[in-house]
Amino acid sequence: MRKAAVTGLLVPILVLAVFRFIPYLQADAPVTDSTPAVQPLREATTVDVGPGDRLCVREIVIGPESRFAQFTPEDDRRGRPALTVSASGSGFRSATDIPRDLRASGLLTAELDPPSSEVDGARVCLRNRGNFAINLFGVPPGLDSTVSETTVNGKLVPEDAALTFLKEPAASRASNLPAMLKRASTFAPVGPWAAWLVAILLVIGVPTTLAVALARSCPEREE
Amino acid sequence: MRRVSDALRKIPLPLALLLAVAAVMSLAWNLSTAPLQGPDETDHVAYVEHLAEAGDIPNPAAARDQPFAPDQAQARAALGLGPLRQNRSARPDWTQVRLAQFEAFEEGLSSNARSTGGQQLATGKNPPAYYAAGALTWKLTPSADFLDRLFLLRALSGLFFLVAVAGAWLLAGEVFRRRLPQAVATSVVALIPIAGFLGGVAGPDMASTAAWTLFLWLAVRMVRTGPAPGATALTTLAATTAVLIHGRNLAIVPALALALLVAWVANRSRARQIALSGLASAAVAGAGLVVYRLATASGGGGLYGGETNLGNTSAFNIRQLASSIWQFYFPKLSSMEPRLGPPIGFRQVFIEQFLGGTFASNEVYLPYWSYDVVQLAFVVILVAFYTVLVMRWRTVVERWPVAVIIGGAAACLLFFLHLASYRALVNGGTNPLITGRYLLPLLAPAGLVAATVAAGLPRRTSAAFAGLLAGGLFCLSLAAIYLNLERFYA
Repeated sequence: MRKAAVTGLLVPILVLAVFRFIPYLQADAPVTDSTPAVQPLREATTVDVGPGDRLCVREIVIGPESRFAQFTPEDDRRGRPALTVSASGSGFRSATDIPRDLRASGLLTAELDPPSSEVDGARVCLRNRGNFAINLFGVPPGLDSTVSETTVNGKLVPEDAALTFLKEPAASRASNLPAMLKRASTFAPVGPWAAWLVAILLVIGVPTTLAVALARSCPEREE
Repeated sequence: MRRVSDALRKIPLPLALLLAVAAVMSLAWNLSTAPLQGPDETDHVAYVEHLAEAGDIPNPAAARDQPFAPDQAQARAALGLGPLRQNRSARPDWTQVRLAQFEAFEEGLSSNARSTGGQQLATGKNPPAYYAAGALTWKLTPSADFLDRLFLLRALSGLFFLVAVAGAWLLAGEVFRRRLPQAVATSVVALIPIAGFLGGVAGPDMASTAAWTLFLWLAVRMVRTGPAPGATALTTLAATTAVLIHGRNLAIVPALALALLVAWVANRSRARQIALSGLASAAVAGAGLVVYRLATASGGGGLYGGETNLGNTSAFNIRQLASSIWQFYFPKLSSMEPRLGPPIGFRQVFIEQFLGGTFASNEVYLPYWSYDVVQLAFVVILVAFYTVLVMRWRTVVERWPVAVIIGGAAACLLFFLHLASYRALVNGGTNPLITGRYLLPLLAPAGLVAATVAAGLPRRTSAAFAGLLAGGLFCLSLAAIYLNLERFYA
């Protein structure tokens, strides 16, 4: 009976581990570093950046893993105008030119050269070097507003233009696990070691404990 | 100290191990869920903080427009926890810069600043028992840091989770003689993903579950030991505690009445015994009502903020209610009007939100094929349960008090939830007010259903079934915890 209980326990764990869990962890996914201004959820608006205009999202923190800046432009049948995306703060500056793209759609991602440590009061700017406007999705003032500020040509606008920093556009989920555990422990009065301990207890300790609990609940000899 | 260690040694090993499993689950959910991202967690924490700092119950009708104390408001703004809610693409701000700024802000708060929040909260109408326990935890936290206090408040839910698991073990011990079905029933409670999740976030759901589970155990035990005044008083205490935790638990009142009636009938109690035990029960219930009235004297609104009234009774239609309940579980019959409210029913509430689970503020969910597997497993287990009941009908008849108490309690809970939902919709609301976590008091009965199947199978098959069920539930929980961690921190 004990063998049957433990076998029954292990079958779904091993089957799902092999066919679902491991492939899922090996697959690639974007690795987010931070979201200084969130994507719209409850209400959406756009911030228009006309030809020659410069939009900035300021009062943000840029860190050493903020390697890619990502905006969310509205799709336009004309594609995307030529743009420059720059990031600056105390002691660092980085800029990337993006050429005009007739078939561009979806997220706008620009690679940056980030600072070596976290910089507060930094900004990311997008300058429209083209001859037609680009409209960036964002959120109106309200529940989804963050501490960041959005300006157009130096003038503060009430909306937040959505901005995400990525560490990597794509990396295996398994490779990101240590960073996830470290971040999870940030808001708790425990260090990253505690998150690791809980993870090990969960993945190895719990099935082992369940096996012993079920085995000890079965009689030693079948009646 | 020696008595404590002697008592600990008496805990059966399987129970001790399952409690350890539940503790790990609770901690994992605590760490993987970003602060204030549990269901209504912001409001529950604000209530606790107000009670702990100001010493009184928040008044939901207060004129001041300050739902959150400055530290919670700052955490929502500066750490991005406000915009994070339900927004899968958003992340909390875990940078050292923002955390240091938040700590500096907290250090600069005056001694009474934290008592200024807690007004105009939706949770303000909730009774105070859970929040009193939370306020005690708040005050006992060694540091005054908001995030540290929140962590321990979540650990309090973990403690209630352990009580629920222990209660499930005790209840199953009253129903089954063999250890394996008892372990099956308990492992179901310890491993269902939503149980671990609610045992890892702040809120009264797990406290309610613990109270219901203890009530069911004490009610069934009362039938076995006889309805002496002490036994009825204890059972009523569990029910009263549940009612003092949340207004939804008013459904336990008819369940208690049924349990008392069953205990009297099953034990062929005489008039004197009925009177004595009835008095004991009434005394405990009355004391509970006095506690509630005293604690909420400064608050506004009716009993339980209006939970006990039916709203506009001219709109209330018993046939429409019956039709609404039918259509929740079964396809609409041709003679029925379409039911009120959004098209949610058994699949969404029981399968997706309860047995499978949805997490955080409902934006974290398992792959949809998982819910299909859960639904299939549910149907198979239900059919097996029915088969075992039919095959062992003599045993069921002999143990009719257990069946009536547990089945009756489940029916009371479900009817109350459907009634509250119908009342909300018929009075013009759009929120159906029924969701998976409201079914949490059914955890222990669900465990008993699975345990009954295990008890009815041949021995080796029973063991394999127990292992398969535990393994399947563990996989669901592990996947859910990982997806939750990924949602907030990837």
